[in-house]
Order: sequence, then C-alpha cells, then structure tokens
Amino acid sequence: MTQPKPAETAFLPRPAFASFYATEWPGAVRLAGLLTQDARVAEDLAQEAFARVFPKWDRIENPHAYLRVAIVNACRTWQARRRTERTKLPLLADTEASELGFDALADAVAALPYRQRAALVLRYYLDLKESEIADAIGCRPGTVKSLTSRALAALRKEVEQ
Amino acid sequence: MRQSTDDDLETRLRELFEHQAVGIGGNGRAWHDAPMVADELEPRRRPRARAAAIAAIAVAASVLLVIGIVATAPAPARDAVTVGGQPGSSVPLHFATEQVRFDASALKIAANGRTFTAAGSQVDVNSDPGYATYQTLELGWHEHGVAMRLYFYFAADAHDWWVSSLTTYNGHAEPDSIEYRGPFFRTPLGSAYTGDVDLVPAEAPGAHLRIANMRLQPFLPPPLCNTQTGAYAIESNDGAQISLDAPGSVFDDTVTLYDRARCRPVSTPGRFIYQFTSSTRGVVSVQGEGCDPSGLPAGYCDTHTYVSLMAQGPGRATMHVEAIDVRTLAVVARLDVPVTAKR
Repeated sequence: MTQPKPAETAFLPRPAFASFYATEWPGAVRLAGLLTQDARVAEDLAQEAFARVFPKWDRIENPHAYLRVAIVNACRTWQARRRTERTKLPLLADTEASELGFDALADAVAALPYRQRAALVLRYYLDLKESEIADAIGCRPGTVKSLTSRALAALRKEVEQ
Repeated sequence: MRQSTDDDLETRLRELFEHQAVGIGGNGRAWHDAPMVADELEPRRRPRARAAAIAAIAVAASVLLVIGIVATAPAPARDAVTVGGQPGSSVPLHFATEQVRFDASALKIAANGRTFTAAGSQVDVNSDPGYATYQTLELGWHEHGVAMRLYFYFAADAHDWWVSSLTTYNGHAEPDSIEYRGPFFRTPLGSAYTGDVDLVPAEAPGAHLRIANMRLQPFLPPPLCNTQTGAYAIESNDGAQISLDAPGSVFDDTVTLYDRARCRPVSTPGRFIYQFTSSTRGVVSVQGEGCDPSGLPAGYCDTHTYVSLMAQGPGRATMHVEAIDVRTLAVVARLDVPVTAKR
C-alpha cells in the first residue's frame, strides 16, 4: 500500500516546475498585460494561470501552450467582469511613445473587443501560427483570420481618422 | 497599395506591443514566493484548456466517423477514432466531418527518418467549417512517441475546389510543421478527387507524403439544406447554439444565406438583408453589423453578415434571424439560434 505523502510536502513544487515558473514568469506577465491592456492586473492574472498549470504539471504535454491558454482565458474572464471600463496601457517612455505616434494606435488597440485584441497580440507579439492562436483563443483557424482582419480594419479606421 | 498599408500597420503593431511589454515589466519571481496555495485551486473550476477544447469541438460541429474501421477500446473522453485495417475493411482509412470526406487505402508520411501511417492510432478528426472559399480537414495522432498531423487546407471559387496546402509535423518531439504548398487536386465543386498522392516538400529534405487511392471531397453540402424548408436556408456559422460568458461579454457570429436548390450560398447576396432580434433582451442583446470587406479575404462578405451578441444577464434566450428579399420585402428564411449567458 502506498504511503500518503506528508501534508507539508504534498504540494511542494518539483524543481522542473519551479524552473519553468522562473523562466516563464516575465513573459506571462507581459502577455497578460498586453491582453488586458492593464499592467495593474497582469501579475495577478499570470499567477492565476500558473496556478492552473501546477496541479497538472505531470500530465501536461506542452506546458507552454497550456500556460498560454490559461493566460488567455484568465484575461478573458477578467475582461468580461470588467465590462466596459477601458484604460490605455502605459508605455515605458510616454515621451518616446508620443514621438513614435503610438498614442492613437494604443487607444484603438485598447478599445478592441477582447478576442480581436488577443488575436493581434498572439500574432504580432508572440508570432504564433494561426493554428496556435486558434488553440489559445479556443476558436477555429478560420475565425482567427476573421478576428485578425476585423481588428486590423478597425485599427486602420481609427488611426486614419 | 492595400498590402503596403497593412504591412505598415502590422509593423507598427509589433513596435507598439514591444514598447508596451517593456513597460509592463514582469520582474523575476520564484514559485515559492507565489501568493497562493496550489491544491485549493484544483476543484474550483474545470481545467480551462479542456473547456476550451470542448468548446472548440462543439463549435466546429465536427463529426467523427470511421467506415470499415472498428474502435478497439471504450469510447475515449475526447473525440478520436482508431485506425486499423481490420479484416473485412474495404477502406482502411476513412475520415469524415460535416464538411469533408477522406478515403484512402494507405497513408505514409516520411519525416525525421521515420514513416508514419496512423495505423492503430487514435486519430483526432476535425474540420474548420470556414466559409464558401475556405475549409480544412485536420487529422492528428501520436505515433513513434511523437505527435503527427496531416492538415488539408481547402480553397474554392465559384466552380472548383482545390487544396491550397498540406501540412504535416516533422516527427520531432517538439514538432514544427512541414508544408506542402499547392495548389493540388483542382476538382469541380460537388465532386471528389480520386487518385494517388506522392508529394515532396520544397523545404524539408527527406520528407515526403504518399497517399494511395485517395478519394477526397471538401465543401460537402451542409445539413441545413435538408433541415430547413423553403427556397432559402440560413446558417449560423459559429454554431447552432451560442454560449456567452459573464454579462458584458461579446460574441461575434456570422450568418450565410443558402439557395437550397443548389445548397450553395446565394449568388446574389446584395438582394438580401438580415434582421436580428433577441427573444429576451435582459439576457442577450443582438446587433446586426453587416460586413466591411476591408482586410477580409476576397468574397468573404458575399457570404457572411456579422451579428454581435452581448450578454446582459444570466439565462437563456433565442436569437431570431430573418433574411429579407429587398425587392419584395418578403422574409425568405428564418433561423432561431439558442443562446445561453452565464453568470
């Protein structure tokens, strides 16, 4: 009969997960920040996503993809609860951003529906393939095409105004 | 000109996201510092990846069928079939979805020095229903201890369909795709391509794809042509049922009007307009949004009209869709789509 693990050690992280966490944490926070366009909640949402990965660590074939899905979904849920409140993500150097003319584009990105923004972030920030974006968002590849096209059309319209 | 504009915008988006990402930070943190207790989280909610997969499968409305092949184990939790070549099987490989049928007597994918046949494997079978000029057949399985895929990407015009490209995995533990660039198998719509396939990719030395006695037909007539009555039928492209998240969440659907006699999208889309209404506005509001062709694939707006649904409160409702002939103002087709909004 298998002896139960002592309670104090049952949920200690295995070295591999701790290493995965340390390596992936900065990228996860940034992805959550870009998806929500809110740096204030990025760490909380990234943490929630890691907490989804941890209990399944032994059974997950592709932890990077699993983590990505968890982040996208955590941000979607947060976005839905947040309803219509929208803020623009602060840039590292606002002066430089203004010089680069990012203000209007950043506003337009922040105003996009969540799935459209997620498609853009996953494509243009993470450089994911269409099939990977579809897996992360939970839609079909054809829908990714549509989401991306609509988002770009909306941005173009806003930026050109 | 359009390409140049798109490229500029895409470049600026990349730059914007890079700047924003730097601003977000995300300083190093160790798992032991994490402010949470892992074991308490497990029972709270269903795993999100699984939920996403279930939703994707449901929305895709894909069907798994095997003719002449017998599943050797109890039905697995996920959609999959066992590929065998059992005694008496007239067609060793048969995969069908609502959109695509594929039959063949043998499949051989050479990649990373190995040959993949899918024999004895549990194969996931899905299609992206796409639209009038785009569909997929997506086969995925594990063999030799690694993941393998065979994806067909279909295209069509008013007369023919063809495979625009095929992809497989490269046979590595961390897989990447091998692309076989088409066009291949140009065939009149409504007909199947039959023949042997022997392809070598342009950029993967040693790889090849062979399919014996393949019979392939995408763009199968949708079931709605049999389930609806009248001269026209409406399809909700994002599922026969729509599930919304918490109040405030938005879901974009598209609808397509079919000429039932041909079971193809109507050839004169400008003759029709759509009216969308919600049975219960306290649960879901609906707003028709037409179709702006900017940036969309050519012809997409000929077959797609957008409707945006926003959850207002938890409950069930119905989205009523009516197609109206602008010449007579008569309603020529109706469709009711059940909608569920979560808390």
